[in-house]
Amino acid sequence: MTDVKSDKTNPTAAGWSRRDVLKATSVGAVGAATPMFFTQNAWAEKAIGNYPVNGSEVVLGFNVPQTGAYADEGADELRAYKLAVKHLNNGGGMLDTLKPSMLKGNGILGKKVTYVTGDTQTNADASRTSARRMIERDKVIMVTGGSSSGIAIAQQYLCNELGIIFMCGLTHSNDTTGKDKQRYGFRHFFNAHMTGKALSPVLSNEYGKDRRAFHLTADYSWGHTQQESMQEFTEKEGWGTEGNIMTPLKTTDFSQYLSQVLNSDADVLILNHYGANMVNSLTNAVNFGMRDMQKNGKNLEIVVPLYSRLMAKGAGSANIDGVLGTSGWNWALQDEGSKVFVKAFSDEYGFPPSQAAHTCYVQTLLYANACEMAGTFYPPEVIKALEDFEFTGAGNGPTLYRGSDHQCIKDILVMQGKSPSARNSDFDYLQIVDQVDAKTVDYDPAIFGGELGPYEPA
Amino acid sequence: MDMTLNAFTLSVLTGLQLGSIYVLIALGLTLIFGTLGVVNFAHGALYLIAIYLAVSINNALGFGLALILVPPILFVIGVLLERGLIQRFYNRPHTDQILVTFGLAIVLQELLKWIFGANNIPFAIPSWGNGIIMLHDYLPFLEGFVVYPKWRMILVVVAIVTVSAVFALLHLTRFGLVIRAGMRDAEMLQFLGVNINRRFMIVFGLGAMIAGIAGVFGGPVTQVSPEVGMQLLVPSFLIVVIGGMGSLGGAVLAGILIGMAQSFTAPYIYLNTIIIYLITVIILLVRPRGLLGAKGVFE
Amino acid sequence: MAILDIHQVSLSFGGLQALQNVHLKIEKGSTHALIGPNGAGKSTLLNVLTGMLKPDDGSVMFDGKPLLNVNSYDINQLGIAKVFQTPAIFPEMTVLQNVTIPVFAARDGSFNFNMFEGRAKQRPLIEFAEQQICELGLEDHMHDLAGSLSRGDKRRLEMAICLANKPRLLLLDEPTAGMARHETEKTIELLKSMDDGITKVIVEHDMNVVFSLAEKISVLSQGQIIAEGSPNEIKGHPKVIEAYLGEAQV
Repeated sequence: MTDVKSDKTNPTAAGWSRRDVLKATSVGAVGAATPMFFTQNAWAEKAIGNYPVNGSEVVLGFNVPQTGAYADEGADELRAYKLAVKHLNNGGGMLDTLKPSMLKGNGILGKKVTYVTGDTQTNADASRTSARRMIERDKVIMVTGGSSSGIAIAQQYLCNELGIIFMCGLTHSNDTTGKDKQRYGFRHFFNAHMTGKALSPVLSNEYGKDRRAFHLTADYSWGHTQQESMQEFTEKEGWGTEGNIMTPLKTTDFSQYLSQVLNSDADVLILNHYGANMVNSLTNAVNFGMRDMQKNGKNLEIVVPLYSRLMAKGAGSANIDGVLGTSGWNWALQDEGSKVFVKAFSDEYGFPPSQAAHTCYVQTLLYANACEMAGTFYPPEVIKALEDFEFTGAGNGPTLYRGSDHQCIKDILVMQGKSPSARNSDFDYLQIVDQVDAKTVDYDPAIFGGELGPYEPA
Repeated sequence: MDMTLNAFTLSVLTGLQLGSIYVLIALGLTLIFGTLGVVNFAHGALYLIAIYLAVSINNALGFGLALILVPPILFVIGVLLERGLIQRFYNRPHTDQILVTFGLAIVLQELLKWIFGANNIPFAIPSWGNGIIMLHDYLPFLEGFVVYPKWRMILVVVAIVTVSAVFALLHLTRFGLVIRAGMRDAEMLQFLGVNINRRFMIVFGLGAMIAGIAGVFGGPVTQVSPEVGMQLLVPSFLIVVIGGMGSLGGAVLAGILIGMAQSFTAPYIYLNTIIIYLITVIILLVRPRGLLGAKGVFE
Repeated sequence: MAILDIHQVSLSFGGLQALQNVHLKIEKGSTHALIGPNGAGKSTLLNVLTGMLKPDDGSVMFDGKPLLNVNSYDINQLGIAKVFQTPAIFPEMTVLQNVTIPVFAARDGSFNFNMFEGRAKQRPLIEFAEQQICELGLEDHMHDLAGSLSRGDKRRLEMAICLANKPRLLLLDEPTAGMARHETEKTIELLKSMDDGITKVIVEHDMNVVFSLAEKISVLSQGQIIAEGSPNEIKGHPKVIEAYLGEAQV
């Protein structure tokens, strides 16, 4: 054990010194250390992905939409990532609030954190190409980012094959940790099922139980799962479902679909749309006078299950005024973790972070923390450290990173659009109506099928 | 297809309104092709410039000024574009023209994204155009409560007025006479002492101006974001092909046809996505010159 | 006085020498024919005169002013008009519309954007156009579509269009090509009755037409002028016969 001081470049040096400390405290520590001794040698023999990490730096890969429709959101994600790297290397931010945490503010496992960025272009092929480049050329140890479920799932598959851990960015589809779950993929952001579960009781409270809903749904993975979840839970509240029309992703003018809605017996319009789709469909619906209409003796209502501040801004507050939906997080939350993050972000960039920024920041910290807890970058051990990890202090209250499907179970928010007069700033579009407890939105992972797969890639 | 009269009426109106924007853009495209013989893939970008200009002026100075300022500005931009870039490509093959105008379109799109961001900019409908029309008050055969947004009907009217103005210009004025002769045989006009190129430059400007009008009235409908230009370009170009390259009547007819087709296939998503391509293929197979096209093009 | 002075004009297409040191002087008010076997370069020379082609060498002076490097429409504005082999008319427009286009072009110059001009100002020009149409015997067809006219009438219409902007030099490129006997006779009459002040250069294959109209003939063969003179001088000229017969052998 005395050779530990002479070998400073040994990548398992950290493990050695910890083992040293454990040995010094108790005899039992030796027993605990011994398996680590043996497995460390075993680790050193197996190279998975870009493990082992050589040198004094460790590289993270941030793959976000830098071009295309979600470029603005991608830019926010990148800001959050850079902030996370700054805090990991220097301390501060959620390092002060995250519990339990082994982050010391000196990088990860003593190595300085650096990063490379890629452009997903909100296109599955482009995102895979970009991720592959970061993995093969830049030797990243982890890939993260994205604003679309299709992209997330594509990257998850790729990273799983190559033995690189993928920490999802913004992806809401049930499939990401459902039928398309991967051992190397982890999602902190909430999903459509949780939205349905959280939102529907609030909807029936506000609008009554005797309602008929019509869905307009973006025709891809996320849209489908969102629609299914909303239908399942609104029907549990006693609502009827009048119809569902799939809208092509590239649609900008929804008048043809809205005509169908108007012709039906529905008195609630549910827009399973995100991004540009939602901006257009909501604006079109408002132009059709649907906010002022009456059907079946009740006011016609519009629901946008998944909200984001960028979308709200794009639609304009006149249009979202009073419209209900859900978000994963909001900068107005008052818990310690949120406040610390909002302050750090605002100080750095001059405006508050979006929910996309929040999840990306938290994911980065959680990954780093898992490496510290595992004592290594070796993916199977890092994965095990994340599975069933319970933590708090990252916003959203106490959270469980569920091991059976790699999905975070936490509180989510029901949001409502603010009227133009109620807004305080250019970032103040949504208000929190309800913070729904994690236990309420919890669900049995078995309902979505899928298998995580082995710890070591084939 | 089981459709009530209400549903049918709404689908017809939607088809007309969808068609109106297409027609306005296709009109400019076909005018430019018919006179200059240039395939102008930058036309969608002209519409994009128009909506960004319109929303900026509207949000700062009101809709009235946007309406007055945007079309003339687009006219000037069109002329500058023609003189600066397009005229160097008159004698080049069509593929070169497509490449250069398409490249220009991408550059313009990225420029606008860089200036304004990728997110949508809300373009509010002016108060006098807001609201819905109670169709059941005007059309006795409708039952119950049938409404349609006022602004979209205004858009249809604007399209009709613009198309009529263009036809009037071409058929009732001397300028139009010369242009029509030029569309037929530009070379011969030169021998008759007419500087046809300069007149065509004005036509290019007019085509851009029509895109400007489309932008002012269509902006609140199509929304204002960088992708809109490309999204409208492909259907508009196909409409010009379907109607007949260089035929204005064809552009109008095809525009309405496609608008209707998209409206009526709305409930059937797979059909809806491909219907415009389906129609294009059928037309190209059965009648390559287009619905009202002149013989010799594509034949 | 030479209204058209073609001086040492040469032009080649790739390896082919289409025109070689062509010297030609056209007298004002004369009717000058340009003949020669196929491929001699007659059409090429006309294209140079209308601004369609640029020669490699040489100069062309029209009434003392240089003609090369001038746009086709400006050449027309200077006073040169060309009659094509197939009648150059706009079939979808009426006869009157066809003739008004050049009439206005003559007044306005090559470019003028005056859409809002009053009817009163336009009246005298339209009347002039109508006059031209009558002079060529087409008054019955004033408002008919040009495409519906007979071949001969189309030729008249083309003349009316050409004469509408009062040219000083008229270039005729095989005006009787493909015509029957009686139509050719009519065309000869038409050209004879034309204003003597207009200089005419006629490219023709039909010798009857040439000898009926021409005051002077130039013979072009393989890009060079091989003979020039009055009709009588050309009739039996050995070089001319050789040029034509030589072609027949090939």
